Amino acid sequence: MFGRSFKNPLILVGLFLLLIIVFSVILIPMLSPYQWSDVDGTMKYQAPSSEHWFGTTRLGQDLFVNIWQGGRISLALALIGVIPYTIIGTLLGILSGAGNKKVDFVVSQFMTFIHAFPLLPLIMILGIGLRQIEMEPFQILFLSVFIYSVFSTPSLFKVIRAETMRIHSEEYMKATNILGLNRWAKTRNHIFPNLASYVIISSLQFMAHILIVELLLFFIGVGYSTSANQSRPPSWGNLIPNIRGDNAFKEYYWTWFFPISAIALTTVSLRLLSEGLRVAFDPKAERAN
Amino acid sequence: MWRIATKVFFASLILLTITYATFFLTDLQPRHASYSKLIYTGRPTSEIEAFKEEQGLNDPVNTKYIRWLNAAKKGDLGTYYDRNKPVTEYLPKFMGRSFLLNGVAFIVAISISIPLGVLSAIKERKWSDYVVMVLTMIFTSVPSFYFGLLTILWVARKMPGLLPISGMGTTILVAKGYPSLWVQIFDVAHHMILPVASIGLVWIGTLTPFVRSAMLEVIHQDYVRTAKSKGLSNYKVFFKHTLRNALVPFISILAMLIPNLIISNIFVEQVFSWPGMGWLYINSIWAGESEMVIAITLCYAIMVLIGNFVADALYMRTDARLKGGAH
Repeated sequence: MFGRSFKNPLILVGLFLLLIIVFSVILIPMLSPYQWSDVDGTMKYQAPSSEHWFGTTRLGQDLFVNIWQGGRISLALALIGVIPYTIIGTLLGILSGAGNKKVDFVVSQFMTFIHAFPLLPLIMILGIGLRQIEMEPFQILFLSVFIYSVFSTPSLFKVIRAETMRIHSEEYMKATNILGLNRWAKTRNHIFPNLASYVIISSLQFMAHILIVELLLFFIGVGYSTSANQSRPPSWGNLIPNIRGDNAFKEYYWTWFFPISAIALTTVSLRLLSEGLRVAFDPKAERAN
Repeated sequence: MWRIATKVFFASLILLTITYATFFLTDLQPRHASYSKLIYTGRPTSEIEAFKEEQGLNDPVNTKYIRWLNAAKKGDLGTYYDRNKPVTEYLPKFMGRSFLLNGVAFIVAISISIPLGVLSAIKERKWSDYVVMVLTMIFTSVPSFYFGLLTILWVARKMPGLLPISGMGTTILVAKGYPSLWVQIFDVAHHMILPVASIGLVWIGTLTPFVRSAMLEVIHQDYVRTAKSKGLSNYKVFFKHTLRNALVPFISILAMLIPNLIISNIFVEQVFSWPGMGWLYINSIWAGESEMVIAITLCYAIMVLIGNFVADALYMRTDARLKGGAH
């Protein structure tokens, strides 16, 4: 399965881009002559030049280093945020698809309930509401992403439930009944391996989603600000000027163009990877080849 | 009947939860718009405190929520303090503008994404398919306002004055009043070009893969082959047998997607200062207009509910297995 994956151009390109981003995020802040926290009052809002490749920020920090430093937190946020989504979605999906009508009804109704929340508006209010509570800005950000992640589970749940139901109706699952396997053994040996591809693909897509949500939160000014305290490392969303700020959007295009492009590059590579894996895992696609 | 009753019960439960959650969260904000005018005019703190006490703003959240709920039952959703008008009177205008923007973008997106998806499916695994796939992937991978910002930058730098980049009408014309309806339509359409393009790209990116996969499902079906071998013209096979069947699942996906797509355009409205619901929403959040915030959240929730409901209903109609009795 994986040997074939490497022939797929989508996976190759996606993986290549992702590796470049991950290596830059790890290496560039260490190797660059600038530090992300270096504030230079004489170099505010400098346009991109040979000295500052991506220009400088409002505080005169080098944007190039800041972007790769920001990637550390953004990628960590995406990695952490995807965990509740994957675990809750998969477990409840398997539970609901396992065949117990009552359990299925309760879990499905609960998921429909969660699914009806207008998530973006609520997360925006949440971000502002949480500001009033004494809390580290990072904790607020992680809490928002955590809640977003939990409330997004229905999208994964639906897929997993339908797939589990399909697998349960297969012939080989009837054979396991005859073999006398217990529920746990069936789930571990037959259902889980069959679901793995769906879980991996959805997790990759959701990671891309979290990156964008983080950006949106900062874009409307719900995140914390670095200007108050330079000892806080930036994240991708944090680097762009928010809409409540000054006229930086039209005047100093590089302050938003490069951070958003970094996010776009990451999300595109994640999408390429997930799309490629979907094609690689899909038996129907193989037959057509 | 039983089904509908459960649906209604759950819908009302959801709406109650959402309004309570919104109420609770907006209540955490220290400032409420009802007395921000008093603050700006520099009234003493004692007067503001007296006003708060009189309006019952110092009551516990639950008391306030029940008060809001009782008023809402009579159709009173509170006041929009910035203009001192009832929310129910002020909001529909903005809602209409949002729907106008999204509706036009939707029609544009549909009329592009269906041919694009069909093309991509017919040319499966050819280079044009890959181009469409990669493009749609890029369109959906970036935040919706990214293209908006890029076009604003491009227009503002390269050709200032060609296309308006903010608002929904020329300021002078709006202030004086439009001389005729046609001028107004033209002016609004002119202001809509950039936001529609920026929303449309994301929608095209979202919808095209669905059209493509729906087409692919159908194209390899036996009945299409039968129709071809019967000697029907390609044209007839395509429109009567392939496209029609491919679009059925697509429609139910649309019903589910539209509310979410409209919600995610809050940010596009903000970037282009389009005076729609999303623009009003963000401004109300920051100004502490809790009544307006709750009303708009309620609108979004109802939209999502309707979308889910329609999708369920359509899904049940198309999938005979779900009608019950067949299996």
